[in-house]
Amino acid sequence: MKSFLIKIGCFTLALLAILTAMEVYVESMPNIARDKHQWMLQHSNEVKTLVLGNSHNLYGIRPDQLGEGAFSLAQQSQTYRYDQYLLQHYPMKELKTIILNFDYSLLWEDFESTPKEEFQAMRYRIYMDCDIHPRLSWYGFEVMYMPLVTEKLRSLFTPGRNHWDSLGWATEYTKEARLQDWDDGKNRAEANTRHDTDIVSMNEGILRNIFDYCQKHHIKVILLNTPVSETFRTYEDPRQRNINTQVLNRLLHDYPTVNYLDWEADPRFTSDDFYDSDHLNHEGAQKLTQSIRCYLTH
Amino acid sequence: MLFNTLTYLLFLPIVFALYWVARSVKAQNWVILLASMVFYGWWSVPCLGLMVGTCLLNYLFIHQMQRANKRKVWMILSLVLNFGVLGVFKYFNFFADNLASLMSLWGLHADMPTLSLILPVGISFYTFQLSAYVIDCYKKELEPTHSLLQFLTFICFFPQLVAGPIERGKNLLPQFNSQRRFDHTQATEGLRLILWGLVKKMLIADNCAAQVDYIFSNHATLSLPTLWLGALYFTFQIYGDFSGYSDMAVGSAKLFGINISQNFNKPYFASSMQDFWRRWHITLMGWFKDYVYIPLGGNRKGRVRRALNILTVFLLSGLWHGSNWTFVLWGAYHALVYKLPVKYITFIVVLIGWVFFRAENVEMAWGYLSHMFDPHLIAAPECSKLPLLLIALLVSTEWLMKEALHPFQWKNQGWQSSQWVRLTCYLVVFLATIMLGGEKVQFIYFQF
Repeated sequence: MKSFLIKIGCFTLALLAILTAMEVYVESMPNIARDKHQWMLQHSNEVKTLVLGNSHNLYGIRPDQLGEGAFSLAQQSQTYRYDQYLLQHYPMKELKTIILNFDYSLLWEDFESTPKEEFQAMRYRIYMDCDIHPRLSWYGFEVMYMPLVTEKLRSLFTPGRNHWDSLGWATEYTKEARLQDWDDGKNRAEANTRHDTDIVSMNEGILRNIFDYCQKHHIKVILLNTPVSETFRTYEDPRQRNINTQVLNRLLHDYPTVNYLDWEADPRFTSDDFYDSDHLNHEGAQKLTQSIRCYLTH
Repeated sequence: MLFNTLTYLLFLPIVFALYWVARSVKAQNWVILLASMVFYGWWSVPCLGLMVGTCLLNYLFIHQMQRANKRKVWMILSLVLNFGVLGVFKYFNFFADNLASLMSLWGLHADMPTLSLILPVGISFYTFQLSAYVIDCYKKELEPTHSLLQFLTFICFFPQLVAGPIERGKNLLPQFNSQRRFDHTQATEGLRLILWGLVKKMLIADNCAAQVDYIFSNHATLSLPTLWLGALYFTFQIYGDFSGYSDMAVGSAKLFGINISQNFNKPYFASSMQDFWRRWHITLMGWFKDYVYIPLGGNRKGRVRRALNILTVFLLSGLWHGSNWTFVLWGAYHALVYKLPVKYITFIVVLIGWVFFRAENVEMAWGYLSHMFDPHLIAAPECSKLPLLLIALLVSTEWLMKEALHPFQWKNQGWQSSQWVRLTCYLVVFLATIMLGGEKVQFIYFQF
């Protein structure tokens, strides 16, 4: 037994040493979440317009063109739970406006309730001091560490894919970089079609908390439905759209000061403005940002 | 609880430590039983209640069978209970739907009731294990244990509880009857098997799974080579998934000084369909042979009867896998090809059969198969080739080590005798499995 335990110990120690070395190396690599966090630690009190939301806002809104004091805390797949966390986490004395997504699928998304997405919560814990799931909680332990190891080990071999500017706008979606068959609307719409209405109820509650917070702090809320391609819209599930509309109507009825901009099918956005069927490229982002700025100033 | 999770990685050492600290047979069995309850209850407490309840009733019936002179009645009662529970949870809706469809053919409209029940994980496995035990006791081929603790430990032994191997009382019960002593060689062998099982599950099965899902759900629009690749990927997905699970089960059991049966013996190297079925899901086919095929007359009552018996076994085996006509068709297909001289194309014949198994319904299976043989659809494959590389690695490894149980059976000579070389090898394989492993997918055989 003793010799068996010694061998197991040697294996475990060697494994831990390798994983720790990889962890240190990977954490030292550039990372959008950490950069945004660092920026906010230093400048949060200067922020007047805060962009939250998922990749649609991350790629689609350029804070540098939105006016002074604009910053984007939007991130890939960011759910309302983390929008609320980020909004309340940093002191923002000057904050006047927030821009949230209200698109086809966001109301149906929650990392914690979706096994394949659970790991995404890790970036808020690791890089943004988020304490929603403490490291010693079961979720923190099982969900955030194990996929973290996998994801991090993988990232050793695929580093530096993402690029972003100093105000948090992700810049790698250019028209030149897009694929030949960029309009993958059928696959994208189907991949974003969900069925768990419990998540919808939970997210509606979170949105109400965000709106209450904003009302209390006199912050203007903009709910934005970003442009998508016609193919994407064709394959959207009518049932999901219908529920989205019902929730939206309830929210707008209860919070009349919330502004909803539905530019999902806006004809101003042509095929030249897309990176793929539901993300804008640089030209599209410029167009969208100018439209938002125009709306905010008039 | 899944074998390929961090939860199991924590659970196993805790149980291992408690087990070897325990000094008596009884204490060791208690540790195993409690661990098995936690393992199964982790998934669903009500289903744990159902399993324990079924076991207790069986225990009672078997003891009545020993005392009373109406032995057959108690045996039948026991089997009715076991297969009744299985039937309600697994097949009720299937038969109700089909009966309604059948009646509608004759113009009768029937509102058949349906049950919204969750299928208890591993119910088919433990039902078969229980039933084999009951029949063996009835036939006096096995002396029933009087210890409830031993009986429950035998049925609920967590490494093989939810996805087999389906153990026999003759093999497993005596092992719970004596004090287990720690055996370094056996425990090391167990860990190697767990590692090899992880490789098959995470590296092969999980990487194939995403491609299989894509190809099967878009089969109507994909090219002929893509569909063949899809069938090939599923062939190795199910092998990696199920044999990987079995390896981890056998390996985990060895850590506790328990030997359970091997369920796979490199089935894709089989030289005939009979050979394939001697190598694939060995314990299930052994069960059907002993409790269905032989009691029906086996090969002793002429060729026609023999063919019918084979058909019965394969249809039941198909139905055992799930309440869907695709599984029945898969069983019928295997009954049909069982005796065919397919020596050099055994693998292809097996591969085609898996299409029935994987398809969501019969229409999908036919559609997929017809496209697989449609020469108008020849075009470049439209899916990832990474699984192909991994499959090639698996096949060549298994071919090179075909006499061994797994590739980590080292020779005590030359470079292989160095412990540092072995440690490095384990680390490399483990890290590669984590890094290249596909997205975590639940074990396919959990649903059966």
